[in-house]
Amino acid sequence: MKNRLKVLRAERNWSQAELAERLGVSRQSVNAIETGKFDPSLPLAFRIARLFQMSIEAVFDDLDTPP
Amino acid sequence: MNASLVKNPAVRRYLLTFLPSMGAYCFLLFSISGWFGWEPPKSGWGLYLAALSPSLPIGVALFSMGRYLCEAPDEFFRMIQVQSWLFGLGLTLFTCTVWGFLAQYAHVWSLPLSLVFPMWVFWTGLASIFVHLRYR
Repeated sequence: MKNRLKVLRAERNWSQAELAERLGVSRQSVNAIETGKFDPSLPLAFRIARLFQMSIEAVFDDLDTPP
Repeated sequence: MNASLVKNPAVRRYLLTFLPSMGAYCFLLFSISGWFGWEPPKSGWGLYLAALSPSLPIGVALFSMGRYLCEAPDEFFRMIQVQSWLFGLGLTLFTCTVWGFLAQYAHVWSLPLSLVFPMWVFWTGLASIFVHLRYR
């Protein structure tokens, strides 16, 4: 699943470690989500969206994801 | 395992249960093997208790793994752990099945069932390297 996490993080000048700390996850989790290797759970996706004060759809794009 | 994760209480609890239980398993296994090789008990409760004793730490280890799954703080590392366990399980099933057919039809010596868990730990350890590399 594509996402805008890297762009949103860069806009705020946050490092992966800083974002990870704000989300309460590991830096490796943030890296895996940013590179599209790992899709976060719904609760974590909500936490990410809330942190950036956006809707989940504005952060994550599931158009390429097969049904 | 990530160094910062080791500071997490759930991870610490997992390691502090899993590693000693594996140590106890090795100790009991070698003790029982030595005892049975030197002077095997002929019958009675002692025989059964001694024969069963190495399996008790394995039960503790499995319990600690189940508890870790429920308490793991990071869903990404939990997924990596689960994938490693599943790959290990698949490889163990495959190895046992291949060995079973060899024993059945080619009269290769039978694989002792007590080796299934150590085999799973071995395959899981190997699989976890590849799973970690995949998500690096």
